Amino acid sequence: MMNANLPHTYLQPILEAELESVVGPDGFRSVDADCLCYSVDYYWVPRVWFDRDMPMPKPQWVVMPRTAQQVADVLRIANRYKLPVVPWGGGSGSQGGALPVQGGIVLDMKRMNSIVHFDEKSLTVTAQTGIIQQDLETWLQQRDCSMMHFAASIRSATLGGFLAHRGTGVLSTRYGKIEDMVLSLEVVLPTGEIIRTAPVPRHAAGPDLTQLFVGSEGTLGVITEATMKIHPQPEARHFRAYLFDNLSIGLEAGRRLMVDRLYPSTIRLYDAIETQKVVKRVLGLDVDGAYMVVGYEGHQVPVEFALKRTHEIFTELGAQDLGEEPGWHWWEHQLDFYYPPHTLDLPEAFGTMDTVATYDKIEGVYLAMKEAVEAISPDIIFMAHFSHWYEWGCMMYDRFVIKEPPEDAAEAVRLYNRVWHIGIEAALKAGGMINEHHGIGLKLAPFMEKQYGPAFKVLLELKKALDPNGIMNPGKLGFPFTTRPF
Amino acid sequence: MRGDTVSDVARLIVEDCRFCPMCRDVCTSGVVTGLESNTSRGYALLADRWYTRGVLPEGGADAFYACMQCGLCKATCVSDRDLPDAILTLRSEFVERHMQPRNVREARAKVMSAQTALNGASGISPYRPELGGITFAAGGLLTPEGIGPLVKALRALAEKHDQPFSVLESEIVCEHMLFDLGYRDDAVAAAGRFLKRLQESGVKTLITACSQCYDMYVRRYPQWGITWPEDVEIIHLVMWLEKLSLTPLPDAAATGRIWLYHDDASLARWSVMHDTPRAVLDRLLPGRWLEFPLNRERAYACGATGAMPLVRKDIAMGAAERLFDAALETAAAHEATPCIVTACARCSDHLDAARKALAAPVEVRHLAELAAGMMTTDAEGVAP
Ligand SMILES: Cc1cc2nc3c(=O)[nH]c(=O)nc-3n(C[C@H](O)[C@H](O)[C@H](O)COP(=O)(O)OP(=O)(O)OC[C@H]3O[C@@H](n4cnc5c(N)ncnc54)[C@H](O)[C@@H]3O)c2cc1C
Ligand code: SF4
Repeated sequence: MMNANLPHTYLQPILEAELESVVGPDGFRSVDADCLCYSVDYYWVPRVWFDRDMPMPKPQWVVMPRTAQQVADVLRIANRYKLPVVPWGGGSGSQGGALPVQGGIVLDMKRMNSIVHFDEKSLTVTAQTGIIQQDLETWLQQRDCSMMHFAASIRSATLGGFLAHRGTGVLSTRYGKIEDMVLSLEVVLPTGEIIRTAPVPRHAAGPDLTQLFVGSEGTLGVITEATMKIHPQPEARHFRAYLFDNLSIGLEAGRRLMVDRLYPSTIRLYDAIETQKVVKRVLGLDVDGAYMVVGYEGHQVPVEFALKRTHEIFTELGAQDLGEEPGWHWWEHQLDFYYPPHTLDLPEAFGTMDTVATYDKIEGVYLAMKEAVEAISPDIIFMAHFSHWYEWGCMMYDRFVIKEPPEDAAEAVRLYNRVWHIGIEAALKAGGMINEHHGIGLKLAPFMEKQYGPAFKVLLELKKALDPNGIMNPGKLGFPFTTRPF
Repeated sequence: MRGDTVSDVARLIVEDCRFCPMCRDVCTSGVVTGLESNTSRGYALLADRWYTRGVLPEGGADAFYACMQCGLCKATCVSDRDLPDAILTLRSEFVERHMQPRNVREARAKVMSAQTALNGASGISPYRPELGGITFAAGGLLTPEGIGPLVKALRALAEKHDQPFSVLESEIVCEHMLFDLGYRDDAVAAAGRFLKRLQESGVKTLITACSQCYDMYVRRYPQWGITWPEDVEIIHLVMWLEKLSLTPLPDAAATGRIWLYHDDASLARWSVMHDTPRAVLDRLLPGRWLEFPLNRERAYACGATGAMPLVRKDIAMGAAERLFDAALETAAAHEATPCIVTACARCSDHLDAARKALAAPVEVRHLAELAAGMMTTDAEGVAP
């Protein structure tokens, strides 16, 4: 396929020869079958588009670098031809972040998968960012360590993808999100310079450059290497399940643990629908109310104290103690939720809105979103669990399911987007933040200006300064599409 | 099953794939090439296109020949989708429609014209019914370097245990490879010829040292509508070794080496045989062998399956290199040369060739060689 950004057909082979000379013949692809496979990530819209045999957003070229220098050389070439470049990690993102909607070059990062340095003394590991997170975790576990980043997509997502989307794992309540785990980055800027951010995350040498690139979704550069904090394996790990009469009491229970600074490793609180449907289906527990799994880990003595204190607080709130077994059952089966047959799939339409707010607002956000989304049609179910907790608030993994969306792809997508708009508008109005760990991508791009107000200009100006030709992942994160779409 | 024809079944398998990428980390071809179209999800996406549109995008057929049939995606997918089998069905559809890539045609020609390294080798007794004992099926396309030491080892073991030993001569065509390449009719025809030869010979117990052959006789033949003769027992070599009275290898033989058992894809995932080879190793090297960190049904594939060394040597070598790296890493703490032990002749053949080509500081042994106490580094050619 010809690329409209190339003024003459004979430029195509010249460009291809240039790209191939950077990464070698085995690192360069342009045949249709290879390109097509970059048209679907874990966003529902490309799934349905593909399923209904609609034209897909494909790159013209797939380039697979092995080094930061190769990335830099590719970006320099792309600037000269003014071609879009889209970094691709594991393609597991749910926001359409890695989709090459304006064609151009997909930069598949998966060959940049080396572990560069292991610092046993400081407990850090430095790796290239195309490494699949599970591979890094396995490597660390062989050395009795762990990054403690147990996202459900650990087997499909890359370290770079998690950094680019500010991802999180099930033990985040104790160990933090990916942005809390990162010390330092190597980044290739859109114009091809290779930079390193400060070696440590706590300093007083100006604004934090590392955090500028964390969450930038490939729009401000390519993250090629990251130094991450790691942990020794804990002496003790405990899980326990409780049942609350309703969500409101469950939310208060979780808040009490956090403001009491008990630092659980996990709190997962399911609303009534998830308790009835999901917990029953996946974990085999037939209960009504608001189900919660709480976990602690670390040294035995403080863990025992925290468990005892938790029990006291929960008893005060009238919780039913379901014991350790269902807690461990959740830990061991946590990925089952995401696998067939439990995971949602076509023909249903579904989306995870993923909202975060302070404790004074979170229940209001939940109720406002539920009311707004379910008012659209009786065919739509809204449900949530609350799975990442902070001293000041928590994250809501709120999902909607449209049981029978229209057969016509365009109509189905229209309804789907309407639900998103209504749900997110309700969240913003109630004081919620539009996303906690899945990122923005294409899906939430229209809400960025609304979320940030005049502050969005700061991000826009940064984008302009770092990426003057707008080549990096155009259209994502609320930034403009390229001026010459094709 | 909902489908009526083989293709329907394949279609249902790929249709049911949710593209969830939860098998991304295990897909050997995807890990080796890094290319999305060479991952289990990529195959499922392309297969979906084939079944919905009836056409493949340019380069689609080539992509399917990057899958090495390692079975790791199936072993990982909790819903047990048999994607590798669907891929084989697709390949056979390409062959039917003459859409197979050129390297596949060339690979078929090679398989069809191959001679087993044993044909004409001196000193090997053909089967004599009056003596009974065990007969070894050598399989096609194994190199003299691979098959020679193996036969030598087997004969030594048989002699030591007073069992007459012979070789089933004249099998030349590897049905498994033909099937993997998509040439189903050729595979079935070759299987027919093999069975005819087997029955004519009067062999009662046939041993194979190739896990792919074993898988084919036990799993594929019935799928092809071929009935294995009731009066012939087929056993994998490790099953025979397990019954022998083996003694631990002397310490000296193991000096400077650390042994790692490689679960080959066919034996570990398709035949689900994990404990038998381990029981043999425990007797030969008590407390002196290691597991790879990923083992049994999760073990790395070495690149010998799916006709990979014939159609995509780059991927076959890449998989072997990955296994060598894992061996070196696992053995690092022991300050010894890692020696990879496998129960599959095709794996030992491929890994040995790869180790030489890549100049990898590892050794490779078939389990039978260990059992026979054959510890020299380099193969000694065709059995005398
Ligand atoms: C079954 C399933 C479960 C999931 N569960 C979780 C979960 O528990 N927690 C969670 O946080 N997420 C989860 N996700 C979402 C997804 O895994 C994350 O968003 C993850 O961060 C995506 O990583 P990836 O490597 O697949 O990136 P991709 O999808 O390939 O890309 C995502 C974005 O990152 C950019 N990018 C990728 N690599 C780089 C790089 N090196 N430099 C710059 N930009 C880059 C891309 O351009 C794109 O904008 C889940 C997804 C699935 C399919
Ligand atoms: S059989 Fe192996 S190579 Fe083929 S798709 Fe499955 S995991 Fe990948």
